[in-house]
Amino acid sequence: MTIAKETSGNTLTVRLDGRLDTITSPDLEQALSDLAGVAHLVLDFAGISYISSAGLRVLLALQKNMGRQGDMVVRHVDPMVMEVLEMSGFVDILTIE
Amino acid sequence: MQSDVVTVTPANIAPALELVERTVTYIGYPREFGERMRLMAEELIGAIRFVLEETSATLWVNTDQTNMEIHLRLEGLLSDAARRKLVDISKCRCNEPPKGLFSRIGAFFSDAFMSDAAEYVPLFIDDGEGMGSYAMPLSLLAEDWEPQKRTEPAELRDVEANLLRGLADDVTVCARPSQAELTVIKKLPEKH
Repeated sequence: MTIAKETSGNTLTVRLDGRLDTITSPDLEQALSDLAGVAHLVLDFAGISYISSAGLRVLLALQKNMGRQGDMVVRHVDPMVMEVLEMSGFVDILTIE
Repeated sequence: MQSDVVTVTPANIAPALELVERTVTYIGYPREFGERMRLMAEELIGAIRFVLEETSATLWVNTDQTNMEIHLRLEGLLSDAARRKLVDISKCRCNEPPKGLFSRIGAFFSDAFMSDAAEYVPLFIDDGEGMGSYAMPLSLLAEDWEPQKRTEPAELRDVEANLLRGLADDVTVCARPSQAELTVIKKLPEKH
């Protein structure tokens, strides 16, 4: 999985490409471990076609973190990823655009 | 067709996931179906992570004309509590015996030789119901049962098992004192 970060003011946009699973989710966790000064976090999922519960764990941690200091949105969600988000109830937790 | 059998360890599940995806490709199904099967394998392994440290685990894939099955076998002594948690993963929440007479005979000998001799209770009861009933219901009063300690946020409770049950057509579990086998069954899509 590749992780590309772009900062504009207090908005951090993260473009992900690949799979967000048991093997790769620690990389995302590490890449976004320091969100100091970020008020808006945008996760661009255009390149993500696969997410497992391990990825959901990281999303939940990010959501809780950003809930304390701003907001988080997930964009361009693939149908299979959306199916997993719906099945797990994460559509009610995350802001999906 | 049966695939190769790979060992699954908590530290390295990648070979098992790759095996599942490779098998889908080998039999000529698209990448999307491979990813779906891979996801089921990943959630299956994730759901049993609590016993993976204490057992040896192997995974393989069986395919016939209509279904693809992911089999995960755990070998080692399993507590009543662990077996109950395994059974909770199944769609019907019951302890299903393996199909076929030889599987059942194999299971009997496996139990007899691999169980803790002091605690072993023969699973065959010759009461006229035959060997099919050997997978006994787990006692709700088992001494070693204690409520699962909740260390995860509520949003993630049983997320692996929930995804697995949502994605699969069926999930069966046969949990014995010394061995458990979980099987995820998915109907093959039509080939275009």
